[in-house]
Amino acid sequence: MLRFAWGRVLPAGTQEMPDRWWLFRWALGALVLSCLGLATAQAGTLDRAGMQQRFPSPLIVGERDAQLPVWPLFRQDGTATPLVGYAFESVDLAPIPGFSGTPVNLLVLLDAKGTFSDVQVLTQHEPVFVDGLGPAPLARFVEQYRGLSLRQNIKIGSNSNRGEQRGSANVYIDGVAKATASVRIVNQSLLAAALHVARAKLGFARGADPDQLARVRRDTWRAMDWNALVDAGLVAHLRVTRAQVDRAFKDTGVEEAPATSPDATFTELWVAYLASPLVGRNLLGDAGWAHLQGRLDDGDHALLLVSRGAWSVVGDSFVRGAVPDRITLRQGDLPIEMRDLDLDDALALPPELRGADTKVLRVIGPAGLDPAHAMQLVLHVVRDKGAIYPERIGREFTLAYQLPADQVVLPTADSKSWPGIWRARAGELAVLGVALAILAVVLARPRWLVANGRRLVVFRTGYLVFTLVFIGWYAQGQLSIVNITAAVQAVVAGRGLGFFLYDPMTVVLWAFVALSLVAWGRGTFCGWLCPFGALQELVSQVTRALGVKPRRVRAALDARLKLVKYAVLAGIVGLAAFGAAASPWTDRAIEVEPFKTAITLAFVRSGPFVAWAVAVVASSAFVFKGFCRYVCPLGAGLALLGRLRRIDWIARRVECGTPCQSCRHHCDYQAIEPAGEVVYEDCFQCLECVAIHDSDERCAPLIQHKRHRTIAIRPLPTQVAGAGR
Amino acid sequence: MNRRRALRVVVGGAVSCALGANARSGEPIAWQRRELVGFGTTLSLQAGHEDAVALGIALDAAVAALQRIEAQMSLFREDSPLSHLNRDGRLAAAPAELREVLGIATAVARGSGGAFDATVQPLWTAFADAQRAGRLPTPAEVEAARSRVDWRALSVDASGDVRLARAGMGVTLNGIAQGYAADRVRAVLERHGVRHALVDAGEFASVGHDPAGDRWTLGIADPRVQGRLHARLFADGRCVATSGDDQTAFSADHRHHHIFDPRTGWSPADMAGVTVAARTGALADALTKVLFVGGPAQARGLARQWQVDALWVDKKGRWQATPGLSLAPA
Repeated sequence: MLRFAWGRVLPAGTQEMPDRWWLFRWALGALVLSCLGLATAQAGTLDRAGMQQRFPSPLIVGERDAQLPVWPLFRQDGTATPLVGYAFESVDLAPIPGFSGTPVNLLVLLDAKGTFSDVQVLTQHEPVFVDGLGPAPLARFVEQYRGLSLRQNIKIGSNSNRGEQRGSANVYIDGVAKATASVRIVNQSLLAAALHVARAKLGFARGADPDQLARVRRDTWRAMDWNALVDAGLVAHLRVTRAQVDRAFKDTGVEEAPATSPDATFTELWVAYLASPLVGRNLLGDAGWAHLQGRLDDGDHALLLVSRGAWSVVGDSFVRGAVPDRITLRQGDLPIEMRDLDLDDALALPPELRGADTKVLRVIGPAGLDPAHAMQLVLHVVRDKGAIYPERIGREFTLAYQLPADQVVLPTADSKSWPGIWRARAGELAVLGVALAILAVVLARPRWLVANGRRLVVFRTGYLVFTLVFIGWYAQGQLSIVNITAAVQAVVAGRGLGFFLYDPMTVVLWAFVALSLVAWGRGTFCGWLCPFGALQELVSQVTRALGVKPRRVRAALDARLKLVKYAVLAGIVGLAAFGAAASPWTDRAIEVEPFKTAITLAFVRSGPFVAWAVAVVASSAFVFKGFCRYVCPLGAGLALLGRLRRIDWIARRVECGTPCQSCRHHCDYQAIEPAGEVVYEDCFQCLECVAIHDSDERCAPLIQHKRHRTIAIRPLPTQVAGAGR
Repeated sequence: MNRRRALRVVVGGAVSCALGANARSGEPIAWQRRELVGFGTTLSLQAGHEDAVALGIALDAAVAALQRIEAQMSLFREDSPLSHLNRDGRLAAAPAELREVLGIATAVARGSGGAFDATVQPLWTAFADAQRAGRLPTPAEVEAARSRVDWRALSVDASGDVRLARAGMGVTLNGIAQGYAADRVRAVLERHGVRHALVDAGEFASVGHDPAGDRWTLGIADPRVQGRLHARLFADGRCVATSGDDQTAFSADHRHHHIFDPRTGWSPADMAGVTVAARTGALADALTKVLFVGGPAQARGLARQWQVDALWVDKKGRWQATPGLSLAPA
C-alpha cells in the first residue's frame, strides 16, 4: 500500500527495480521478532511471571517500581496484603563484571527492614563455577546471606583470619576455596545492589537520593604538607587514652588494672580521603598518585589510615588485601565495605609518624559512599572475659570524617535528567553534527569530492579516522544491535524510550542513520559511521601498503557468503525466540558482534573476546571487510531496512555491465552485478564507482566518447555527444 | 510505609484470577489483581473482564496512570514536580494532572474557608522533626509553621506555572492525591472497557460488582481496636475516602496526628475518623479533612453543604452517618 507513496527518484538511464516489498515486509517482521526474542532472553529482565514463579503464593509479586528495577513483594494475609520486601536482580543495580567479563546475576529478596530473605544465582559465567567446581558451591555460598542484615558488616571468612573472627566487627560467611576472587565479586555485587535498594526504598539514606552522589573535586590541587592538610580539615585525628578505654569497659567484668599513666595513648588514628588530588598527590608524590589512580576504577574511593599506639587498627591478624577486622566504615548508620588496597608507595608523613602503621583502603564506587557526607570510622576494641571459652566484649570508638565542602561538587538537581546530559555533551554533539552535515553534503553532491582521486582518498581516510577515534573510542557512539533490542524491550515492557535520551550520541546517530537508510541505503552507516568498520578499513589500508593484497572472493562464493549475515541474524532470532530464556547461548551469540570489545572497551577485556575481535580485524587484511560483508547481524538488519531507500543515487550509464565491467572489478565490496547494477544492500558507499563514473580517464565509456569526439571524421550530433550525461 | 488503613476491602480480596460469571450476560469474567507500592502504602487494583488479554492491557494502563500521578505528587521522591515546587517555591510548566489537583485543592480550600489547605506541609515538618527528637513541637514552633500555611499564597497561572508567594512554604497533596488517583485510575479502566473493578489507591473507587457478583463492600475500621470494624459500607459508584487519627500519630493518645487544623496549627480535638462518599475521589478525600476539622457537631451540616454522604467517629468511639450511605453491621 506504501508503494505509490514511495515512488523512487531514478536517474536517467536506469531501470525500475524489481518488486522487493515482500522481502522487505518479511525482513521487517523478522527484525521485530528477533528483537522481541532478544528482549526476553537478555539478562536482568525477569518478568512478573518469572518473579512469581520464583516467589510463589502466598507471596504476590507487585508492579515493578517506576523508578528502580525492583519488584515489591506482598504476602496474602486474609484481606490485607502487607509489603514483604523488594525483589531485584543484582545485574540491574550493580553490574560488576566477574572473571568472564560478564556480571554474575543474583536474584535477591530484601525485606522491608534490610535483611536478606533470599538470594539465588540467576546466571553466572565464572569459569571456576562453570567448569572447575561446578555451580553448586556458588549456590551454597549465596544461601548463607539468608537472615543477614545489611546493617551488619558481612565479610567472607578464610582460614587465615578465623582466629579473630569471633571478636571481629564483621559477620562471617564461608568463602569458596579456589574461587576467592569470584565470590568476592559476588559479595560486592550483592551488597552494592542491596544497599542501593535500601537507600532508595527502605529509607536507609534518610531521604537523600542514592543516584545523586557528590564528586570529589580534582581541580583544587596546590602544594600542602601533612600539617597543612590537618589544618585544612582534610586529615582527621582521633586519640583514645587508656583512661577512656578503661571507662568504656567499666562494669563489664573485663576491667584491667588501672593504668599507671591514664593519659597515655591507647591508640591514635589519622584518616584522610586519599583519592582527592589535594591529599593524594601531596602525600604520595606524582608517581605514587599516578599509581594509586591506576589501581582505582572510576568512582572508587580511597582512604588513608595512619595508626599508632599500644593498639593499632592494623592488628597482628591483618591480612593484606582483605577487609580489616578492627575498623569499619559507616555512613548514615550503614556499614560500607572497605578493603585493603595493598598499596606500599611511600607517603610524605611528618617525622613523628614515620614508624606508624599506614594502610590505604578502597571503597568501590557501587557501594554508594557519598564523599560530601560525614563518614564514621569505627574502631572495635575487644577484651576476653573468662579464660576457657571466653566471652568477648567489645567497645567502639568513632572518628568522624568529612571532606570540606569546597572539595566536593554537589550533584545538581538536573544532572540526572536528560537535558543536563545533553548540555554537558553539547561540544561533542556539535562536532558530530558538523561531521554528519559534511557527510550528508558529500553523499548528496559527490561530484566535487570525486573529481580528484587524491582528494577522495584523503577525505575518506580522514573521515574514517574521525569515526573510529572520535565517534567510537572517544564519544562511545558505536551503534549496535543491542540498541534495537533495548528499544523493543522497553516498548514491550511499556517503559517508553525515554532512557535513550540519556545517550545523546546514540540518539543523534540513529536519527541520522534512519534518514540515511531512506535516502541512500545501508552503506552510509556501514561505510562511514561504524567505528568498527572504520577500524577494519584503516587496518586494511595499512596492510595493503605493506604489500598484503586482500583476496577477491569468487563471485559465486561471494554471493553465498553474503547470505551468511542474514543467517546470523536469523540464528540470533531463533536462539532468542525459541531457546530457553536467559540461555547463555544467546549472550554468546550476541558477542558475534565484536563492537563492544574493540570499540566500547577498546580491547580491554578478557582473552577470548579480544581474540575474536583481533581475528576479525586481522582477517580484513585478507578478505576486505569480510566481517561487515558476510557476518555482521547489524549490517544484515540495516541492509533489510535499507530497502526503504528512495533514491538510486549512484549514477550509471547504459554501457555499465554491457559491455563495461570496469567499476565492477574495482569494487572492493563486490557490490556491482555483472549486468552493471549497484546492489545497494551490499554497497558501502566508498564512492569509488562514482569517481570512476565521472572520470574521463578511468570510465571506459567516457574514454570511448572522448576518443570518438577527437577521432571522429564527421561531427557527431550534439545529443550523441551528451549521451553519457 | 506502615500507615494503617482505616478503610479495607472486606469481601472479594481473596479471589485472584478466578473465573466468575457475568450476572447479566452469563459470559465468564476473568479477574486479575495488581499490587504496588505508592503514596507510602500498598495499593491494589482488582478488575474483571470477559477478555483476559484486554483486562491485562487495561490494568497495565491503570498501573501506569497510578505511577504517573504518584510520580508527580509524591513528597517521598526528591525529583517529583511537587518536591521541586517545595524546594524552589515555584514550578514552571507543571504537569496537567498536578495542575488539576492543585485547582481542586484551591476550590475546596475556598469553599471550606481554609479548613482544607494543601499548604500545611510546614506543620507536618515541624511535628515530624519534633518526633524525631522524641517530643512534640513547642507552641512557638507550631505557630511559626502555621504562619507559613496559606492556600491563598499558592497560585497556578494560565501557562501552568505554580508559585508559592512566601518563602518557607510547602505543599502536600497527601490529603487529596490518593482520592484523585482512585477515580482517574477507574476512568482509565472504564476507557478500556472494564465494567467491574475496585481501585484501592489509598482511597477507593469502584465500578460494577465484585468477583462473587455482589456489590463491592468496604469495611470501616475502628480506629482504636485493630481488626475491628465499625460497619460495612456498600459501594454505590461513588468514590470513598477515609481519614483517621491513627494513621500517623505524633502522640500515643492520638491527640496529635497527621491531620492539622490549618487555622490553629494543631490536630482537631474531637474527631477520630471520617469517611466520605462523593462524586469524585479528590473531593471525597479533601472533604474528610474538612469534616475532621469541623468536628462531630458540624459534620452533618458540612455533608449537606457539600452534597456528600459521610460517616464519622468521635474520640470516644461513637459513630454517626448520614442516611445516604448504604451500611450494614460489621
